[in-house]
Amino acid sequence: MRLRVKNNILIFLLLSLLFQACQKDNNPSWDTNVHAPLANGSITITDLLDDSIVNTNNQGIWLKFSRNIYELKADSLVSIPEKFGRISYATPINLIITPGKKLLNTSVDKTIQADPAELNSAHIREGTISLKTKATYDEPVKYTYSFPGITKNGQSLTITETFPAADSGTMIQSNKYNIQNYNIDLTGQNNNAYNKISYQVTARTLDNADTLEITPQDSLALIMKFKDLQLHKFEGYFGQRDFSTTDTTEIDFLSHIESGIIDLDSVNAELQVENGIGADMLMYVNELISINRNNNQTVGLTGNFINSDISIARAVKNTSINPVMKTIDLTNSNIEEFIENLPGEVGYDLNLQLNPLGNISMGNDFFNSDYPLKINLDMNIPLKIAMDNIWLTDTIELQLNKDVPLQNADLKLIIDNYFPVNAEVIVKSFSKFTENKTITNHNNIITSGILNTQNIVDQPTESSVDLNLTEEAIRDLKNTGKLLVQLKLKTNNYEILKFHEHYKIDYKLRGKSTIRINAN
Amino acid sequence: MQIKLAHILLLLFLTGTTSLVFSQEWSPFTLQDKPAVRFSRNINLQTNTVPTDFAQEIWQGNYINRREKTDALEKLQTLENVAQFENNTTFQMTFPIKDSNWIFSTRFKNESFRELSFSKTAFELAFFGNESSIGQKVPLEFHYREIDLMSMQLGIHYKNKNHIAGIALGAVSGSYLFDFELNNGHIYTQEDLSAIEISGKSSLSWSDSKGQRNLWKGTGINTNIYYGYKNRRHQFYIMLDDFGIINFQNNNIRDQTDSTWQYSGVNYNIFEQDEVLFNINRDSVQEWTNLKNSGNKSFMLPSSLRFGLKQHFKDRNFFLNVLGKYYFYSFARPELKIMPGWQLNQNWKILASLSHGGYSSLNAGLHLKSNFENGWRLEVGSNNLAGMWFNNHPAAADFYITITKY
Repeated sequence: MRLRVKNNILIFLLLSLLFQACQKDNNPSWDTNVHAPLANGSITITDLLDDSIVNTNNQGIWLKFSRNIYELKADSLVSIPEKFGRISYATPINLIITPGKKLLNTSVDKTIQADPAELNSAHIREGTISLKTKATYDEPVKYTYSFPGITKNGQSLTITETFPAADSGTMIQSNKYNIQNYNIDLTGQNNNAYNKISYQVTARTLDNADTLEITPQDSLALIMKFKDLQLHKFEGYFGQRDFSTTDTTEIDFLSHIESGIIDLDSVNAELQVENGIGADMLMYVNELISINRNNNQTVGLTGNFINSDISIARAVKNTSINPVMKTIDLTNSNIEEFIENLPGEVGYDLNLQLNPLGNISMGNDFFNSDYPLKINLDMNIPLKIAMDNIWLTDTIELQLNKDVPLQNADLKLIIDNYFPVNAEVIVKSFSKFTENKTITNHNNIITSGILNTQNIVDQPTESSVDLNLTEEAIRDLKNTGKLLVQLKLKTNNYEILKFHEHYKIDYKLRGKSTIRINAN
Repeated sequence: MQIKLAHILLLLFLTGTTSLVFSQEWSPFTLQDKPAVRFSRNINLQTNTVPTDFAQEIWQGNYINRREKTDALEKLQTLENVAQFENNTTFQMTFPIKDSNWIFSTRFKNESFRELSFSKTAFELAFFGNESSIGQKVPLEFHYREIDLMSMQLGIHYKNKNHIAGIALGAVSGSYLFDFELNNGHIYTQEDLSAIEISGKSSLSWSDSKGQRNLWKGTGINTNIYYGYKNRRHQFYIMLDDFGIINFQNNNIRDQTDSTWQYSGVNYNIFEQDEVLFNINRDSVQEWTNLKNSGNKSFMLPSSLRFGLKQHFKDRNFFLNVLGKYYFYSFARPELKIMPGWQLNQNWKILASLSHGGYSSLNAGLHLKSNFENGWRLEVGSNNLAGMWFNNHPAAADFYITITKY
């Protein structure tokens, strides 16, 4: 009987373990097909375009752009040479310098080469002073550099460094010292000159060193340089000089357009020259070019201002700087053609003459990098436009949680279109490793809204676009959180049409989705 | 082998953590004039229509393919497909009063009870989606209930040569309740997929919408009452089991109302998208279902009225049990079980069973009972061999063991 009890308990335990072994820790899962509406919404003009560029009034919708196409920088105006001081020392006879005694004590009022500018002060935004020492002395020497004209918060710059003994031959040492936000007085020791930097250098053997013996074969050279100097402000007379500049500036407001033709009804545009520099200018515009990098087409801007002198008065400085504005109207130019070229860049070729009337400020020209000379292209474009095969490309952020159980989906994007524009839509998922997957198929046309007799859309047209999200495309979307959208836009018969504030796209996304249910 | 307390504790521990067993119905005639300790653990999965192979895939956490789903769907009834999952642990002690007919008893029970009733259309919606019902108004019935309870009962029993009767009263604490019901429901998917509409009379009670358990969230009482008669050849008893009520406080309630939900997609601006799509959490479910954050709700506890008949034949070596059970406040249907048995020798009995009803369909079982030295009694068996053996049979799984020490 005892044996039977033991066997029964054993059987029970084995059965318990058997049942337990059959159960896994996984949750059961299955796929289910859900046919449902997913999302709906509207896209208006202000959704499509940045709020800051859309103006609406009774006359319709206007796009307002302002882009900087040129800026005169400090280094174009004046240049301060890097090297501003050098001291060499040699002796024709043997010298004995006891410990703690002076070897050198010299003051210099150095003129820097900033011609034709005659500067009397500058303020440094960024930069360093580099001190390079070459010496053959066999005892350590302490050098003290004093720059009474280089100050910060009322304190002049003093640098002390010890040069170690050269064991044999010539020893070289270089050090850099930050002079960010220092002011430089360029009026020299007597405060009556310009382009002058004064400094004093003393050299002394160390108290605890041995006696230094200097022979005619020994040498010492101290070299002082500015490095990576960026001037924030400077004053003086900037000189009378001509300089020319040729370059390009990227403009972004048409960057989503890859190709196609647009026809604008009109463009109101002007060039705004804003001079914050305390110096007179005479500007001569050789050319301003619209550059389309996609098809390499260029269009030069025409107008009375091209190839003629434009006089720009100096800014006024009281407690603050008041820039002087000069407006060049482009009404009688070919600005429409210029914009219709869909430029990604604007190229310019300018000549500038500085101080054409000479030193009429009596040495009081000024520059402040917060108030440079700028040329802006300001445009007001009424949204009245014809489009032919305009390809727009953009990405849409669409964060899809990695835990979303979506397996695949066959969806329909149903669109009520009020815009008087036909569109072909291509949507692709981004892939990190393979080609981008196209989600749309051949059924991807959105028909324009129907125009009434006043050429206004008051009834939308319904279109549908098929979207096929495969497992791969969903995986890509979860990984990147982005979709690539390409739109080919076209107005009927390439007709110029006015856009109204009520124009919008209403969309509804519906269809079949396969969902992986994971029961827990 | 001398069975000691340590062996019992080891067995309790193992059964409490690893076993899948089902206790047999307690008969008042097992009460003896000696003190006794009885332990049973009951994990019981039953359904009246869902086939075994499908339930097995669920149980094992596998991926369920379309063929398995289709096979299961074909087996379902239009309405009243029921399923139950029960997990009970019971510990009972009895103390006879010396030289009298009175017996005291105490019982501790920990119970986790889940039951489900659904229409065929609800199953199709969950496992296949709404593909086959676009443009049609499809009826839906669904009720799911989950309760976690603990109870302690004190009982007194009277027993003489022919009669036995008893009553037990107990306190119940409820730690979790979830009860969702959709009656006379319909789902309608518009043909152009512009909207999905779900309507019906729905109610929801949830003790904690974050799913947390709290021992004293619900309080209640329950009772067991029985009477039995026996003579040399016959036994009969009738018993009301675990009849009681529980009140859950401060739970989230949505009262039974005729409701219509219409879903026509989320409003979504592709240019201002900063939220993560499909990010649905419990709080948003609570907001969507318009749950009230406070409220008391009282429920009758699942209980049953059962009877047992036993007839001995031929020098008492052959006997027949007939058991009947009527369930209250649960989805189970009335159940009838016939159990013929043979007394093999002084210590061993073997019984077969044929049952129908409850949460299951027609089922056959086999049972073995043995009395050992020192007053040990062991019962092992299964009521659902058919449910475990045949893949196409409605799923039911149990194996029970009851250990009693007199």
